[in-house]
Amino acid sequence: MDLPSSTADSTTECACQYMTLVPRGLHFAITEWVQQRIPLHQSIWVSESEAYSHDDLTQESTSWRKHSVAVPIGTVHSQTKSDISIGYNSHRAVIWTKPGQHSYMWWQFATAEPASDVPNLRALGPVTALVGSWKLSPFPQRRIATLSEMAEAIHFCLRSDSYRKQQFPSALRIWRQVALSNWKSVSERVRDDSLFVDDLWLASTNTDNPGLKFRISCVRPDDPNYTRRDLIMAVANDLVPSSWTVDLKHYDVEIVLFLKEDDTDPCSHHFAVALALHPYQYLGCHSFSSGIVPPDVAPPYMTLTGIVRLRPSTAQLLLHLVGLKSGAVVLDPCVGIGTIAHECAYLKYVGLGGDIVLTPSLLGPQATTYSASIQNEQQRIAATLIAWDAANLPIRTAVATFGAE
Amino acid sequence: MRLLTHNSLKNNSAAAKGKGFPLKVTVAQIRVDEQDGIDDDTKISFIQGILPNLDWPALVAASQAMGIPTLPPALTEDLAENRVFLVALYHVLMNVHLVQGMLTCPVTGREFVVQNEIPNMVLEEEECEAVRF
Repeated sequence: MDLPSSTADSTTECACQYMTLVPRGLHFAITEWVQQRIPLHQSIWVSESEAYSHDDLTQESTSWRKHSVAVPIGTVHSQTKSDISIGYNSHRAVIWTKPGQHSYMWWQFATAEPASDVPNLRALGPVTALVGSWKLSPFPQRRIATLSEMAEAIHFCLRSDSYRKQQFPSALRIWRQVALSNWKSVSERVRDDSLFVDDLWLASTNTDNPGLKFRISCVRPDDPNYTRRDLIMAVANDLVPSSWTVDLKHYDVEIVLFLKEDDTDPCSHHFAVALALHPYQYLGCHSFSSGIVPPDVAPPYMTLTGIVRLRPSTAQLLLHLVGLKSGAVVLDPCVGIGTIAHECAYLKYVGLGGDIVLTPSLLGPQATTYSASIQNEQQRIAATLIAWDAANLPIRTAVATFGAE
Repeated sequence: MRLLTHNSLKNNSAAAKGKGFPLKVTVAQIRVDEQDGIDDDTKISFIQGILPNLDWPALVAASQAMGIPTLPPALTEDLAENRVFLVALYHVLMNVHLVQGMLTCPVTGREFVVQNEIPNMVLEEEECEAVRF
């Protein structure tokens, strides 16, 4: 297929398209996890991991060849190249993803499943309704370097009939289904059918009535040439209908711009526009507004500011990789606030965990609150948590293998 | 803390010399989950898997302390194959929670507080000098 010289649109005509950010290394797990639950009509990893082969793992060599990524069976850390890890396959060929500031991959997928069901897939993390995804390659010899060059390339994508009449309205329909079905609170504007007509841009020009409220966020590696805010301001007018109004706090729709360099093409960027499907604005937590991946907000919604923990979505994928049978007991000796142990219930495992920080003076009260919300909001069995020293487990010897499967 | 959890907890301090089991249960507050949304086959499969590891006398004593006097004094083969009994046993082990209370070592009398369903089994430094490695 001949692609335009400046942009290439990788989205299809399917109305229900989504995008999420997946931790590197777990990308092969999430596809399998999701496919066991919903049928996928399309699955695209944008800017696939760089893959290298190395004839001998023990030798230093600068001769790296690129291949397509495959599932690694193990990883090692090179003493000679301390800035990378090496994943290898069964043939001892090296497969690796280049480390960078952002350790997430873009996963775009399409499914005919009801939109209200998709955000509830716990492994998906910060899933969004994908408006469109483009490859920006306006220059044959180099990447886009300046704000004006980037804005011009993005304008080309956004000022098209396809964006205004198909892509954006389609994504907005998905967003509205999710908001009305899943969010505990929405504004009256979201319930107003007149704000969700097919031709939003035309309707905006024919009315003085305000449309939805929105904010724009940008997820992009740091760039010394221009800030995320600069980019947002440069393209904001083309993103939404003119009747929509900006509100950085009490917004209806969060529009997220994703931008990154193409790992495999030195002359390209990847750019995507999507609508956030989790109600960060009602949860008191950071959304994409901080420029990085927002906190996991699969139910129960976690808003523990200042506490760093494993994402429930990542815990789901890790438990999936273990491949236990229903009813298995999973023991996490350093469970923290209980993330892995609590996620066990979704896979019909029994979660048991302990940590030295679960005493009443440390994280014990927060852990109890978390357990209670799991019990009450989701009616599922919370895991058993114990305050213990992992170096001195208070478990009788006869059950030392109790937690192992 | 579930009864299943209690059945595996012990005082691991040096003074207990490996005999800090079973812990005596003192109840201040209990919570019982009436419905757990788990089907009977899953419950039975789970119970059958853990039966060999259960310390039955310890379970009977702890359940009595938590207000469940109905467990039989011994687990017979007939009971171990009785579906109704196994489902009821699942309920006792998994759905009865000690919210506030105390666990006491039978050898040393060391008390472990259970607060908001979390038993604090963390030992002081001097209690575990002999077993740290």
